[in-house]
Amino acid sequence: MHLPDGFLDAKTAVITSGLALGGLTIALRTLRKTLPANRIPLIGLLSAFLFSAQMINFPIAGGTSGHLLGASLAAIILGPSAAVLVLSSVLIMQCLLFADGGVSALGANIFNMGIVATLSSYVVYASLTRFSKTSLYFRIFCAAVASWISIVAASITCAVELTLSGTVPWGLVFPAMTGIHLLIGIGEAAITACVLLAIARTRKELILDTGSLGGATTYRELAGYGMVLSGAVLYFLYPYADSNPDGLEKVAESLGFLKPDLAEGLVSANSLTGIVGMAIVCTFAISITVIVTSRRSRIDKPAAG
Amino acid sequence: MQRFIPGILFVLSVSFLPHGAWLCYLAAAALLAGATQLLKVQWKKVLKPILYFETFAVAIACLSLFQVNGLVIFVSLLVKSTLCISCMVFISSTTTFSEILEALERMKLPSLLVISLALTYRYLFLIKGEAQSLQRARRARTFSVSRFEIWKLLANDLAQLFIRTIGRGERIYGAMTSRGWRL
Repeated sequence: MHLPDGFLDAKTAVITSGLALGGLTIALRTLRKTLPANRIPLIGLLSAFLFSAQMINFPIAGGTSGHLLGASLAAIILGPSAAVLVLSSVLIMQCLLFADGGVSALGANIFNMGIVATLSSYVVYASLTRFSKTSLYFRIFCAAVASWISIVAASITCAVELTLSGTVPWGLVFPAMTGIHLLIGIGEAAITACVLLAIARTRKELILDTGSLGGATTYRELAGYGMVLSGAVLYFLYPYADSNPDGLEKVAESLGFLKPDLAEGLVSANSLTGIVGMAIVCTFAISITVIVTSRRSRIDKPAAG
Repeated sequence: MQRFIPGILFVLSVSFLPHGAWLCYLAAAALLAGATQLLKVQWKKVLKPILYFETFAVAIACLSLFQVNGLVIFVSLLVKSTLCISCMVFISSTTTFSEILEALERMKLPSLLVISLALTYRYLFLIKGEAQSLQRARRARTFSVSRFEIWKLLANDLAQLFIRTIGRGERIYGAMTSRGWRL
């Protein structure tokens, strides 16, 4: 899934690099605060581990073989921020040292495999495991589902980027790219499940506390990743937005208190309004969360002397 | 350093050229050919990785054939990605990674990122060697295994490698702090 150079146009490359930079900045800032100092070398070591693990081939029928991507494995054991950093280190290494994946596409590759794949699998895994905290086999099953989703999600964003760059038509690249990755995802799910089972045989605690190795997960970092991903959704879906006037505009036009040329001006400002609206809604949601959670914690705490 | 930054600039400018700018492609190819003469690139060493990374590029480029102006886009994509891949392979075959890290540090990247990149590079070959010896030991113990069995065994190797890596991380932290390292 490593995009080479020359396949993305400047606009897509700049925007995906911006998104990747945003996600990576959140990861680095969170890790500076939450990662215990004795785990800092672990990030580099686990990048080296993933790099080596990607070279071990698992045989599939008919002489073909597949290998691990490891985004979900990292997210499940390390938590989101450490996983983003581990995957980004691997991708930067592959790009600069082994020429695997293009320099101009580095942002897009980090966004697809380092951010979308890790975060989607983390969110799926963390929400599924709420149903049963203690059962190991249920957790392994959740991990398999999360791994499959991570691969499929990354392949979809990859297809979108190729389409928005005008390289390949959507009707062709989406079925081809995602169709293949529906199968590759099954392989990833199987490998991740097998590896987690084998880890659980000796170090069960690594799997029972999600993300325990990579420091605590904070709500602020998750909200930040949410902002990055919703920015991506906005950018990816904007070309598909319906340019026809919506109900309100239609009524306003027919009643004559909104002139058609004014309505057109409103439509062209869509993406800016989208970003502003997203920011307002996010601020609102976060402030409500902060107010609610801080009040609850004040109630829960025993009154201090 | 003197190769890294011009190389990156070259790759960026080539990859953002519009489709069908044949004269620009020709100029870029001439520039790259001149640079290979200066850098004394060993062709035997670089040909294999270039061909290896070309396969994925060809696979995607084939999809671009099925649209208006498909042939122009197809050929442009192939030319651009070949130029960029060759340039990156030339750089990586003539520059050491510590030089690249130095360049990244001078670009004021966050220290946590540079440290994890440096450690990745430092332990990459060690852990790769450990993975190979784990697999060699496993192969020596198992002669003929069914396809399902081999998945279990390979996953076992990976899990073992993972646990050893975590243990190594703790020892490395001890060694680093005893030498006075701080972030």
